[in-house]
Amino acid sequence: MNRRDFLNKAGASAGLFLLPSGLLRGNTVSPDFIGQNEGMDLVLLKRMADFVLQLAQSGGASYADIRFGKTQREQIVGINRLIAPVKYTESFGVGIRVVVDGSVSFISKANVTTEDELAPLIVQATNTARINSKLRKKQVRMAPQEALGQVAWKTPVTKNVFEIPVAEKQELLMAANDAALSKGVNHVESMLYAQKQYKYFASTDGSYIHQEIHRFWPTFCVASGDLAGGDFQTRSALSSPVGRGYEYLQKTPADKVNGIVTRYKNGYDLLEDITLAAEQVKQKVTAKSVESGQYDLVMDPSALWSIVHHTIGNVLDLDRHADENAAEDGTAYLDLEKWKAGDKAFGSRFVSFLADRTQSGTLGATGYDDEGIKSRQWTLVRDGQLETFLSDRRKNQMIDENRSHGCGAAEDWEYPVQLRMPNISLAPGKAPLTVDQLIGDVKKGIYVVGEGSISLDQQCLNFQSGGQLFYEIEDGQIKGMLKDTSFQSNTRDFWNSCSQVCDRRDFRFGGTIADRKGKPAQSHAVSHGCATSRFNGVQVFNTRTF
Amino acid sequence: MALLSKDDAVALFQKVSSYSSGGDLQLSLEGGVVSTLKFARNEVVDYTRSEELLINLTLLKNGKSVQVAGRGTDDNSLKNLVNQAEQLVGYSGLTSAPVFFSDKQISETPTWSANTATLTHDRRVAIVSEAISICSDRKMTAAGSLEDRQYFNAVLNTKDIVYYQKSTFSRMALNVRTAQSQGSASVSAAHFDISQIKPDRLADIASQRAQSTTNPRTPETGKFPVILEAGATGDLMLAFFKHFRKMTGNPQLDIRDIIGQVNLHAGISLVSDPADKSFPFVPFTQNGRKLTKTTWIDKGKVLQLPEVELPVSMSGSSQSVDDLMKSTENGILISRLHDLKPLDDQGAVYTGVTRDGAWLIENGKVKYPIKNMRFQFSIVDFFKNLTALGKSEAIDQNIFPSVKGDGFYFTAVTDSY
Repeated sequence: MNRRDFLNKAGASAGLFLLPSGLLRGNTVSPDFIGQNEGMDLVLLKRMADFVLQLAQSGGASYADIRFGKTQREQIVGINRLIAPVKYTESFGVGIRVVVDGSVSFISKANVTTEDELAPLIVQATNTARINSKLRKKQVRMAPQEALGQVAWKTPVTKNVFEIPVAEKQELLMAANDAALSKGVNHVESMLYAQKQYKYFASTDGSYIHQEIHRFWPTFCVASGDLAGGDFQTRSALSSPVGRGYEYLQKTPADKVNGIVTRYKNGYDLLEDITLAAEQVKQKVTAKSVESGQYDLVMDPSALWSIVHHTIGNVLDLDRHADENAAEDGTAYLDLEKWKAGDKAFGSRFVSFLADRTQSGTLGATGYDDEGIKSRQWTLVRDGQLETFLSDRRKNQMIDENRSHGCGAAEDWEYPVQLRMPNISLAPGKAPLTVDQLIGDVKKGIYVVGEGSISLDQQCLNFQSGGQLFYEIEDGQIKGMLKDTSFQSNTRDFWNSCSQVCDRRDFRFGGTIADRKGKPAQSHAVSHGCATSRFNGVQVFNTRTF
Repeated sequence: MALLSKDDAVALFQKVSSYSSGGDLQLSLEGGVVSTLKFARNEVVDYTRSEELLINLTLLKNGKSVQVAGRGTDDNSLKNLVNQAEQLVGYSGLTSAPVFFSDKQISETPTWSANTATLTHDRRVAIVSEAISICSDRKMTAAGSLEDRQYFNAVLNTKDIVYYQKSTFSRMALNVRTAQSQGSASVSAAHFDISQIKPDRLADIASQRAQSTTNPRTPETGKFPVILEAGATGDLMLAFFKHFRKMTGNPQLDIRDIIGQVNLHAGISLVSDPADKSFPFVPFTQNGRKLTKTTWIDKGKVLQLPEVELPVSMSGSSQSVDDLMKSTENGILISRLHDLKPLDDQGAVYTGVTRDGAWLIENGKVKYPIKNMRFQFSIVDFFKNLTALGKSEAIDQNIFPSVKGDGFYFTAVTDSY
């Protein structure tokens, strides 16, 4: 049994059927040391960090870093007209990474507050790294990073979710659930999930970085039909997890995107969305079952972000190209050597991807990554040509670059840093193009809205995905709703089939707060932006008749 | 110190109880040390060691309940935990009344191995080195991980149950790839006693298997009978349990109830036994439910579903995979399944891809390796309509047989390997 199993059980006990569980982990923090709902004592942490770094270097480390972390998590769930037991956790601890004799070790422990407790951890780290070096062919070399001194960053929130009274949040969920049930759905689950992380990073580079990172996810799922064995359908929220506070639940006209389905930009109207979802999910039960075949897909950002995540973010992850996830998730289909030799064709000329850790309100926005690299933006694909990959301080050498891209991230203090994708966005179209204009140009197509489940092969080449809502397009007009719809493609064909991308006015973010990777497995939060886009000739399957 | 003794656990519960102002309490504890040694391309990537202790407190008071989690065992941390619970319980309703079990009798199972508990890092590296050497000698690359753990579980409550057990666990996962020609294979082994994990055997199996998958040909798509090796059967059966665990009937949720409603192939029986000689496990859940030998599926009838993932043993026959192939005119032999995802909750329709070995069967024999394929099918229909079961073998801590059945609809070929 591992920690994740333990916490998944905690989620299961809340009776969740539709929503994800297992988002929580934690320990109780002593208020005398840290302070309830406050940050960390930076003077004390710097003193302990300096102690660790000096001891590591005297033990033979060519590089060392230390991360203290304090994380708060809260999950409030409403199931039909009941509130589930509130779940709240706090976590505090330290993780130490060393490079000794060209090899890496990472040791972590909870609730460490004195040098006496830290000292044996450093000894363990340096000793095990030294033993590891017997099985290294090449020495690990960390990409250079100049000293940053003492710096800080904080997610710009105007309403801290943890300062909103629990009763107020519960009332919101009950109002939302009531709105759905009064429209006749059979079952509804809604959730407000929030996390706040204080991170203190220090390294032998001479950097001391303090960050306060907020994330928030309001979501729901409604089900309608015969749940006891007949036909039933579901519809999930069209919100996105965000790197923001409670202010995300604002209702301003500018944030609403009207159309056959109402969607949201920088503010989310939970009550409106769940009311509309209740109507749409009933329509889905009696909607036309799709005919399998080839269609032009028009993908709303709320559906497309997931494909960006899996077919761009995973494929360009250099850990996969180093076989470091071969036994779990797999590798990647792109041939790095061919790319270096000049084969850079990736997608159609309409396709450009930007990597970023700076865009305000996104999940991937931080001041610095977990290896002490300042966040920035860079281009991954330009007009269909692959320019670079995703690297951290160890993988930069694979693509002959001197510096890390800043993709080092650890879920929390107890995990080692992994290479994790930053926000990755499909650039909006350069020419003016609205969604209505794009749909008007489609002869036989399907308009896809909302995130569906996606399955990829072990090299992120072939994939099959779905969505929340599907509408049949015929001769430029939306004909009606569809159900039982799933589509399949492969990464090369899909991005080469992209023929139109709406302009900046339609650009919106989606994202995930629990993207899992690696051994030990870690979660990661990241956003992906895009505008509604068209993909020609995609194979669609009916999920009920085959 | 994360590996608490039974006396430590009892003392902790007494302290927590003393800070409580009333109500029923249950303390679930789990802690220990986890080590993971990762390797890729025939060398160590890194080593991770994490010491963790999870304290989960459930408070029942005036018809309401709350769960709070913490890690600190000092007085301040425990007081804080109880305060948080008492503060939040007023806001919490019930979706279903949590049950505090009261059966005080519990029999320990043998899940502790000194071999695992006293594993040195030198020995850890030596185990990995053994696997890597074999692969390297055969001009192949090895990647994977060696994980070992020593931990304890405990549940104590105000109904006077004191459940406690110490355990160890180890697992080696190995992926082997050929230098060219698209050969790939994955194997794994898990046991509470690390001396039962044989890196040389794993490397030998994986490298031979990788060789047998080289130069795969492009197959036809469509519907074919399949023979799933034990690993692929395990992938499917675990997905079946996960799917219906989510969907299990619950009076408050009024969700579909599979129990007693679906009959699978009569040859399918599945049990879990915490006292199993090969793969014992802790005889209680972290909710305090005692676990005894339990039959989940009996001759195709789904009797109950495990509330958490447990080691299972699935019945088989004496037929080898070769025997299952003998009666197959045209079919596909599959080693493992990857990234199974639901397409349709109601019919348990899933998609996924084959991985680490697929071969065309013609006239009772393997003809040649084929490229991996994506498929779409109903898990329930597949297990209902099996045509044969084969011999059972260990897949990590589970026992699964090879099986033969219809209903796989192969929709695309992929070059991925």
